Amino acid sequence: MNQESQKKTRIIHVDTLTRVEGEGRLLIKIKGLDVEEVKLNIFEPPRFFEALLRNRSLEEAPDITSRICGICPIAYQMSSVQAMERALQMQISPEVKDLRRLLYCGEWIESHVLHMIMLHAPDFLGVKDIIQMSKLYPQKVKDCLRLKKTGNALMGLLGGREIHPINVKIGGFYKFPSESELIPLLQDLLWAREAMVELLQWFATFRFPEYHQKCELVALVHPKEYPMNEGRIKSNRGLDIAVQDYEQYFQEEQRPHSTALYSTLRAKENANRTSYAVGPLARYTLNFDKLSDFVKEQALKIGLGQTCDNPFKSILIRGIEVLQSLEEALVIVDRYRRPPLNFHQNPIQYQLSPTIGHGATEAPRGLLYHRYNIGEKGKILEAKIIPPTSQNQSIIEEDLLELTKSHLLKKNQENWERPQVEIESLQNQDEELRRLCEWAIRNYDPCISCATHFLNIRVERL
Amino acid sequence: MNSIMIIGIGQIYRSDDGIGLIVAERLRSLLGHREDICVLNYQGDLIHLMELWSGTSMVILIDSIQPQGRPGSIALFAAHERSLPTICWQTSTHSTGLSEVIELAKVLGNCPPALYVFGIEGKNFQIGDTLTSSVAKSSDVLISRIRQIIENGNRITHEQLTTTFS
Repeated sequence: MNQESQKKTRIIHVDTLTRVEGEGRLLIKIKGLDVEEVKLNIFEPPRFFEALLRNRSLEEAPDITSRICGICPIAYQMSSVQAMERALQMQISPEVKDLRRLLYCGEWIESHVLHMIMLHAPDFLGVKDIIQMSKLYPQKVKDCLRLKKTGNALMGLLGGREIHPINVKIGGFYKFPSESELIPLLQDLLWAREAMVELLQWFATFRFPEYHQKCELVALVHPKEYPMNEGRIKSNRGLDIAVQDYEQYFQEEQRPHSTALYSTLRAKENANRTSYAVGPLARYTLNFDKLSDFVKEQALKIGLGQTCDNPFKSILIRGIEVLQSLEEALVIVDRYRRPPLNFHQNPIQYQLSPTIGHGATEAPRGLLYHRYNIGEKGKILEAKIIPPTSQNQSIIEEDLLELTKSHLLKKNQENWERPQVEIESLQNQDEELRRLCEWAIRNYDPCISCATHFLNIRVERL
Repeated sequence: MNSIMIIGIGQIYRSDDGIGLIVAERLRSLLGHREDICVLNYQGDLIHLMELWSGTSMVILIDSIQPQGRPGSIALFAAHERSLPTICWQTSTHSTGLSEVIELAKVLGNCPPALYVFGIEGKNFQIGDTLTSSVAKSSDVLISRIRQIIENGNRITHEQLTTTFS
C-alpha cells in the first residue's frame, strides 16, 4: 500500500446482510492500516414482546414467546415453560422431560441443517447462494433438505405444527403422540444419522480461515447430558452459576446503531471479562465429554479436538450437534411409551403472593434466558428475554475488528512483497474483506428477529 | 398420483397475505373429494413444497403479491418456464422465498412439468385477518378461472398467461 492510500479513509459497507435471518447492516471504517470503526447495525424493527407479555396469563407465555422466532420457536417455549414451572415450584415427570428433549432435538436438527447448507456452506464453496451450490452439489443439497425435513417432522408431530408449535404447555403437553405415530420416524432418523456422518466428512474438506477467538465461552453444563433443557451456566473461565443468578453476572445495554441490545458479562474484579460468546462452540467446548461415544469418534475423525476456538469451524460443530440430536432422538423414540389416559400432568396452582421464575435453555444459536415476575392469579407483571443473538453481538463485532486488522496487515505485506507486480486494487481488496466479514457474521447464525424483540418505551406527556 | 395439485400459500393473520389460503379453502369445499385433484393450504417452510408436489404433473400455487397500485388484480405466471418477477415476490430475510424455492426446485430436478402461480395483488399486509375488499372480490374471479382450467382438462393457454382477469 502506498503512502497516498495510507492517508485515505475507506468505508466498507454492506447495506443488507444476506444469508442471515432478519435485517442487518455492516459498516467498517478504515484509515490506512487502522480500523477506525466496526458496527453491526441491526435495523430490524423492534417487536416489543416483553411489553406484550405484561398482564397476560403465565399460561400464554409459551405460545406468545414462540412467535418471536420462526426458526427456533421451541427454544422460546422451553425457556418460558421452565421459568414458569420454577415460579410455580412444579415438578416435571421423566416422560415429559424425554418428550421435550425429543422436540428440542427436532429443532436443533432443522435449524442447524438449514443454516449449514443454505446460509453458511455457500461461503466455503465461494458461491452466491444455495441455488448456485445446487448446480455443483445437487445430491448434497437434496440430502440436507431431507435431513432438515426429519427435524421438521419431529417438530410437527410433537409440537402440533412445524412453525410456531402449539402443543407445549406449562406442566407438559396438551397431547401425547402414540407409539404408532412416532415409530415410522425411526426409518428417517436412521437414514438421517448415516447421511449426517457422510455430510460431515464432506464439510470437513472445506477450507477454514485461520482465526482463533480469545473470549469467554458460556453455555449450560449438565452433569449427565449434552445440554439442551437443563444445566448450570458455566464458562471456560470459571463461571459456574445457577440459572436464577444470570442477571447478577450479565447485563444488557442499548447502543445507538442497533435496535438489538448488547449483552456483556458484568465487569467485576477482572475488568477484561466483558464480551463472551454463546452457541455451538461454547456448548461443544464445555460439554465434549457429554457427547455419545459414537459422536465423539466422528468429531475426532473430522479433525476437531475436544475444544474449538475457531468460529469458522462452527459449521462442523453444528453438524456434530445434529448427529448428537439424531442419536438421542433414536433412543427416545425407541423407548417411548405413550402415557396412560389418566396420566397426571400437574395442574397449575397459582401462587397467592408474587413470585419470580427463571429459565435458561440452549437454543440452536446458544443460551436463551427468560425471567418472569408473576403477580396474583398468574398475571405476568414483567418479562425479561435475552436471546443468544443479542449475547453474541459484541463478540461478532470483536471478530470483525480482529479479522479486518489481520486482513489489512496481510494485504500490506503481500503488496510489499511484490513491488514489480501490479498491486491488487483497493476495490478488490475491500471486496475480499467484505466477503470475509459477512462470512464471519454467518459463523454465528444470527437470528436478528430474536435479537430485536425488545425496546424500552418511555412516554412523555406534554 | 394426483394429476393436479392446488396449493394456497400465505399467512392467514397478515390480512391480504391470507388470500391464497382462503381461495384454496373455498376451492376444496367446491370441488369436493376427487381422486385426480388435491387442494392444500400450506403455511409451513416453503422449502418443503418440493417434497409436497413431488410426482405431480401440474401444480397451481396461489399467493398474494406485493402492492403494485392495483389491489385485487390477478396475474398468472408459468413458473416452470420463467423466474417469478422479483417486483411481485421480494426475497424475505426471514425465510426462503417462493421464487427462490422454485429456482432451487428447477436446479434439483424437482420442479413439476407444469407449475403455475396465481398472484393476487394485495394492499394491506399488516397483522389482522380481514381482506381488503377488492382482494376479497378477486377470489371469486380466481376460483372461477381455476375451475375453468380444470374443466378444460388442466390446460392453460399462452393468452391466459398474459391476461389480467380483474
